[in-house]
Amino acid sequence: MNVRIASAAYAVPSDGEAVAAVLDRERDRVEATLAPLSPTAKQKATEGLGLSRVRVCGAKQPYDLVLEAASTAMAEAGIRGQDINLILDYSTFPGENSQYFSFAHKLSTDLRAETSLNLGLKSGGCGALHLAIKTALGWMSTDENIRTALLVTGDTAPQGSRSLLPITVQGDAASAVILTRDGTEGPLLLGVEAMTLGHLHDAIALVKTNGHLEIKVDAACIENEVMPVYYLNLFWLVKKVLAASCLSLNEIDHFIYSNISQRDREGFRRMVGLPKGGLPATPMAEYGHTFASDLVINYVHLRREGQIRPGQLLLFASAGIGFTWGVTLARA
Amino acid sequence: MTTMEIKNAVRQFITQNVLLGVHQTTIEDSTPLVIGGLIDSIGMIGLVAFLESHFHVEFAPREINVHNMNTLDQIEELIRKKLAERKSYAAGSKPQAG
Repeated sequence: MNVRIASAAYAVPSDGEAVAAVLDRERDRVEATLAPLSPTAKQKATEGLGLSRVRVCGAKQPYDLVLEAASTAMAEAGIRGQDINLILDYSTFPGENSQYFSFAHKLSTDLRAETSLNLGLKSGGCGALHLAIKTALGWMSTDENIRTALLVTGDTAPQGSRSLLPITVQGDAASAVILTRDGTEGPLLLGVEAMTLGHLHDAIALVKTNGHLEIKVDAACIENEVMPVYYLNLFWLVKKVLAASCLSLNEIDHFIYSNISQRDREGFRRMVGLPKGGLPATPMAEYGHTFASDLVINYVHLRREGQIRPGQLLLFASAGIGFTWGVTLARA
Repeated sequence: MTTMEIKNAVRQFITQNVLLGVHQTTIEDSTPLVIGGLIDSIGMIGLVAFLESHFHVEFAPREINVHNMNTLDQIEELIRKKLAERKSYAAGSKPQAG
């Protein structure tokens, strides 16, 4: 099946906050989260983040950003609302005050995509893009009428839960990806692989405290259970997706990885065997970690900078809540 | 292959290739390798690749976790289980799940 990434776009709120201010405001929560860690691990948790600021939803909420990103992606691909056959919302944290149901339904109305099939999946966090792509490919392969899919995510950190130390600090953003079947424009999808480990579901959990949603990070679980297999599982998926296309790691032209922290990006760089500085710069310092939008943001930046040339191989990789790992391979 | 042979092969590989610059002269059978910070996530990739090639076994992602890879004792037990599975396959019978 010939499915391409016809276009991609993102939107971020104009308001921002310094990461140092976030960590200062959430100091009690951060200290409580890091309490189970050793002094060395505690110190490491705040070092090497590589994040200076995050964008914060204010006047524009996640849905507004989703609509903006989707409209931009549609304009870029030259697609009208009535051309969209599937809308898939894979937001993880759409906002406490957002509609309970998937953004996809309202989006179909606002984009005049009245005949689209509207779906949502709430799984995967930063790894959710791969789940969304694989789900869309599944629908496309089993339903001849689904030829154009719009995948969206719009996320905002719950109030008071912007710190996800020892992992990252979250910024708000939304993004949209349009997949087209039998098109001629955009990178051709070669493969998508994903895996989940349910026994790690408590590593990052969403709980209700005093009537408000709060993200609880189990730092000991992250340190002792997730991290030992974090890159191993990602590496397995990379090998699997490459083997299916008879390709090897050294043939990849662009690694598009999430903006969790500079420390994490360094780990990924070592994992794929790139030299120091081998991963492209991203706007992570300005945006923070924006959930599953990271990959779209980084892809869009590479394209804007003119770095992606026809025929080049792109490997998207990320891992997140669930715990979930995912890798997508495409040829520009 | 004896227990000692498995442990010595793994011990030698870890000492020569994976240790995170820690001056650990000996790795005891019960030394916590992962929880103790001697092997990180990237080191695990190398260790698993070594185990697969040296012992001619193959792991599925869900088979590897900190509870069966944290010490030489645990790694030896895991390898022994995989070798038994392989032998069972070779004999034409299906191994029990779990």
